[in-house]
Amino acid sequence: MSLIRVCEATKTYRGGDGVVEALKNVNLEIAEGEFLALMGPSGSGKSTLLSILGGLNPPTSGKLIIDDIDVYALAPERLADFRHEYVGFVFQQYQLIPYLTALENVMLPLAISSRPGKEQREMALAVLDKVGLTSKSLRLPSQLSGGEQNRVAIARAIVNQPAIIFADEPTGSLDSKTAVELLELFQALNRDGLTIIMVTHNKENLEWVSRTVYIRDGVLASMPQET
Amino acid sequence: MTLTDIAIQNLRRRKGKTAFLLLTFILVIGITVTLNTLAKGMQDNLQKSLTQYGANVEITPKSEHFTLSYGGLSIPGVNYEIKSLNNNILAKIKTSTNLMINGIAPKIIGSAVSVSNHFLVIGVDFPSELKMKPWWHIQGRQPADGEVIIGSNLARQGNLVVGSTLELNHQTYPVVGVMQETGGSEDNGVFTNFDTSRAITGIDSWSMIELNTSDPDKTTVSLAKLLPEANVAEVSQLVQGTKESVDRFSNFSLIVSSLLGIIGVLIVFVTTTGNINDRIAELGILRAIGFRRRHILSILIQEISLVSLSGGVLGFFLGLLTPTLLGPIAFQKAVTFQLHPLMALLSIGASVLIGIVSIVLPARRAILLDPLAALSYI
Ligand SMILES: Nc1ncnc2c1ncn2[C@@H]1O[C@H](COP(=O)(O)OP(=O)(O)O)[C@@H](O)[C@H]1O
Ligand SMILES: [Mg+2]
Repeated sequence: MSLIRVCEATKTYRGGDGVVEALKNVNLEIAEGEFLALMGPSGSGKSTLLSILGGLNPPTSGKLIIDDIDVYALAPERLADFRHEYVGFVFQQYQLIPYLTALENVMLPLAISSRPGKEQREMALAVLDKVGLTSKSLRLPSQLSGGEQNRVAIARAIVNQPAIIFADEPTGSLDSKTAVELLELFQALNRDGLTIIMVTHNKENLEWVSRTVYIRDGVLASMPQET
Repeated sequence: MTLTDIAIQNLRRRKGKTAFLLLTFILVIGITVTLNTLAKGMQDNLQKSLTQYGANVEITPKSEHFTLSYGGLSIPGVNYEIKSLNNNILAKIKTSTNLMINGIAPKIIGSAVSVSNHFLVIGVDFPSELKMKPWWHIQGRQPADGEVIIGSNLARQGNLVVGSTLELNHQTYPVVGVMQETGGSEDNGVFTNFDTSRAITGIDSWSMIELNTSDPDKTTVSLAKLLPEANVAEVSQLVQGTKESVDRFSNFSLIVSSLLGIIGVLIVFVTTTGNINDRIAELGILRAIGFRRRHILSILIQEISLVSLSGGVLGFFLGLLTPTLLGPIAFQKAVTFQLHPLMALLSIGASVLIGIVSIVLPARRAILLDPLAALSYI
């Protein structure tokens, strides 16, 4: 049984320059424990699909079912709770709160839980240890390198023990060595049972993932279409 | 970590923005409190001088003219009869409860002659008189029966000192005190107690009763009804001008305070709107993490409350201190440092209110923001 199911999802943006059909009748099933790559050229609808999958962006039509929950049927505040409980996000860059230290950034998802401060701190330190940043936990984001910021973001995404991690071009701003470290980290987390869905347009990243889905002009394909 | 911690860290680590906001609150509240403290100080002083010192209502006998004339020629000297103020008039005043009287100073005023001079002899009750006229300073002591004190002019002209004697209507009276110069009619008077003045002048009714009341307007009206045989007049012309300028200053400080409040709202509104625009990405991240709208709202409100509360407290103390420093320069008068709990409550409350009011729109914008739209700023 699949953890995530997208049925006939379409997404139409109405912008200043007319109507953009970013997704067209997308159907996708993702099983628990997959490390899925979403691959496609710029503007193909990768971020749109990822944000729909992550409960951030209601589709114009169609459904998203995660763990038997009809996600977009939830009331807005319940949808926020859903994100809090089920998903973690890792974005390309600038994703840390600039005035919070690495440790505080990681503690953010716990700040809206009822956990006591001491437990929050222990949980955050544990995941910072997992991403190898224990020694820099008291630094502000501006005092960290891009790769380190990314690892803090990953620590924050997993601290609340979500079922799924969504990552939008997480290696986009990293040099290849740091990118490899990040992919190795994702792989390790995936082995521990976490489902990971990663947007990328870099073919080299694909050797780390368990499955790749291709997207072009808002349409999914299981094989890359050559132009 | 709690939402409060997040709010505090934001304020702590965005020092420039926090300092600017804090300064806005301190200045708005500080200036407001300064003006109102000064206004209140002035009102208090005026109130004090109105209530504590000086007579503000004067009762004198009614004089009724009935001119004696002969063939169109009016005869000078005896053209009016003075009604007298009986002794029971004091009892009448004292038993009227609604007059708000703080002091009563009846006087017997008459004249006496010596070899070369006419003297004004004033019989008073010294304790009541001194309470009403704290600017009377007597060198020597208060007179007992058969003794007198004299005004400063009289002392100078007659070469009289404490220990001299004064002859009045062929009797000698020891001078036991000299009154320091007041600049008023006291300087030429001879003062003594009631019994002695009766003996000297032969007058046995009150020539004038000075009153000090908290509400001279009302007292005058009620006394005029109560005492048809007397002239009751308010003697507040002197303070009237002062009262007007104090009232004008109070109104001015009220208007300036209101303007400052509006300016404060505008500055804080513009600043917080700008701050929230800068924070759209950040708020989007929080929403993506699963923060509810009310969590975001709570952070924003706690931030502005912390700043406006501390700004209000600091501004309040600034506004209390400034008048004590400025008072002597601006008004040639020391303003006493006084803690008014109500003013503290009002000004700090106003500060927080300014903060909350000015954050309503930006905060609304922030929480209605689609998390995705926020993230696309990334
Ligand atoms: N918020 C938006 N409003 C209007 N058009 C959008 C919006 N987001 C994306 N689009 C359009 O939808 C299409 C897909 O965008 P996106 O999902 O960001 O693609 P990708 O992430 O693959 O680059 C693009 O044509 C883009 O211009
Ligand atoms: Mg994208």
